[in-house]
Amino acid sequence: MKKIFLIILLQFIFIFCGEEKLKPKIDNSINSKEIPDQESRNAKITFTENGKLKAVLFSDIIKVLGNKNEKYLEGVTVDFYNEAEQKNSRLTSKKGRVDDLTQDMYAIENVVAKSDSGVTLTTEELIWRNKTKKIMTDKFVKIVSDKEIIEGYGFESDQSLRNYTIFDITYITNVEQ
Amino acid sequence: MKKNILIISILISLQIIAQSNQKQITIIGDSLKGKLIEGENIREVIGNVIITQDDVTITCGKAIQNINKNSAILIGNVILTQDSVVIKTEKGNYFGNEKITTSDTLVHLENKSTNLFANSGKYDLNTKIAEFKGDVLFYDSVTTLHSQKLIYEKDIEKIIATKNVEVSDSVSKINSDSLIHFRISKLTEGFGKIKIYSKENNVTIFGNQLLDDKQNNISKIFGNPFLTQIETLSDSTYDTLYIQSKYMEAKRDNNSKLIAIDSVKIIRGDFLSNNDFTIYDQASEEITILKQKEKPIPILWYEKTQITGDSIYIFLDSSKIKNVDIINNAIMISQDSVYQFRFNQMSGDSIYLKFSNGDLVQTNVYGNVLSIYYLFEENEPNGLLKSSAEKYKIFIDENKVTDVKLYGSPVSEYHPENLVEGNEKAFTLPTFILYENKPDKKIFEKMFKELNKN
Repeated sequence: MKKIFLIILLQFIFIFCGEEKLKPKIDNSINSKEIPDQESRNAKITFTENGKLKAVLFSDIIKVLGNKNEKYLEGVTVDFYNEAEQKNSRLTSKKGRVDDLTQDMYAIENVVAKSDSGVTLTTEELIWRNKTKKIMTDKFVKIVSDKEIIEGYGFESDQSLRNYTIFDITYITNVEQ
Repeated sequence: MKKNILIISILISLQIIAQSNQKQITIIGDSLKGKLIEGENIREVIGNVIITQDDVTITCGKAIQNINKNSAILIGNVILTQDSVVIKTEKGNYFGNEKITTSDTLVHLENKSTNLFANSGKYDLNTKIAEFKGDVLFYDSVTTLHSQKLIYEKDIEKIIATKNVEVSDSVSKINSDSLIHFRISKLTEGFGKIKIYSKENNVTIFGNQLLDDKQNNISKIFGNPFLTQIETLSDSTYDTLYIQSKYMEAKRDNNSKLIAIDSVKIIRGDFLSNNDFTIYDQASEEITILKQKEKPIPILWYEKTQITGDSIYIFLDSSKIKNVDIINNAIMISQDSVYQFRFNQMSGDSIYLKFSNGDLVQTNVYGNVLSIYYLFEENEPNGLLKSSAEKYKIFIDENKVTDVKLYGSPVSEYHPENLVEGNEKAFTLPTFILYENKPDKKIFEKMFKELNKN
């Protein structure tokens, strides 16, 4: 028994003396504070107000950063609902962010919002304010419908994209598509 | 066959594309508000708005567009431009499908040197026809036009003005109920209650229809035209010329002439005339009266004298009569100032009257002269003298005959007073006719006052 233990010990000594010593790799890019507390895939978040459905968010990945009260999203789709709880517009973006305190949503990169009235909005960043139920951005915006193309910088709208304001506009109307 | 169908398909496609492009409107502005009001898509573009559709550009402070109707309300310093046309107003409407713009506020259309103002207006950008209403003012470098309604066809530069139309330039003014004016050909047609006033010679012409051709320097007035010319005489008194006829024509060239045709009545001082063709040459101060075929012989009255002849030429000098020439079938009949039925008569191939300071001083008669002349002795009638000759000369001083000369085989016969008295009507020349249809000066004065009121 002692022999066996000795052989094993010698083998360990031999192995460790035959190779360089290895240290574990440290990823310096990761900020410990950014490390999510939770991570979900193919997630769904439902927003309601007074029990009424207002919006449903789908995301490929949701990272919850507890200490920042934020959620980071990738592969975002948000469906907005009207007073009758009928879906009246959809927003998609590459990335997104949800402020847990305000429940405001930020759609970032390749943002496309489509209303059931046939209006399509594209921009690089769009904010949905939960409190006002308004959509806004200060970035370049393009709105396309069957009769018009509106381009401008800065945008504010209700979530159905029916009543909105755009600044510094170029507007082509009566477009036959 | 397939090839043809392909070509037709391409052509139709191109046409559809062209049509759809034509309707497309581009708008630039500081901000845009999109709204859905009662099912209508409304776009409010605010601040430094520029709207373009094809060759049309509109700038304004604010535009409210109805997407479904493709129309827009334009507010604040609205300026619409198409080719050379610029329309300015404070508030207007633009209908994109029809390409029509309207305004119910003061509107100003500018096209090259022409300007058009009105209380409201409509401009069709396809047909390029403007319809303006309410206190319309149209002017260019030469002409100013006022009316209550005006249609302006830009491409052919045609103007149709109606209601209280007044056109004026530096020398003349035309009033009418309605008027059509072609700016390129400088042709004007006026209708109803025509009044033409010329500042140059103080002439006013009234009528029912006018055709004014400035390129050919001719104006035609139809519908019982009536001309008046108030002249200041050398003694600072006024005299008025009245001419009435069924048709008048004014030629404005080196020899400005007025031609009055058919049922012409003329009054000027002590001269009156009834005839069918008169030419009044203002520059050379000549009035020509000519007999027309199938029409009565021209008649001229001067105080108590009646003159008829195929052609009558009146020459004026500073508005006073200088000479009167009566050519062919001339006859002069003068009523005695005391005896109503005693007429001195003189006929011949031609009669020439010479005046001095408006008074007759000499009468010359040529060719087949016949005369009947009543004699007086110390203001008492003393028979009459019938004469014939080839040439006759009468000299007058202070309205009294001072000398009579007969030339070329003169023959005279005396008829004593006892055979003449009560038998005056038997002593007339073969061509003696007394005409009573004198133009009435009072009627003309009244007519002028009434027409001038309007």
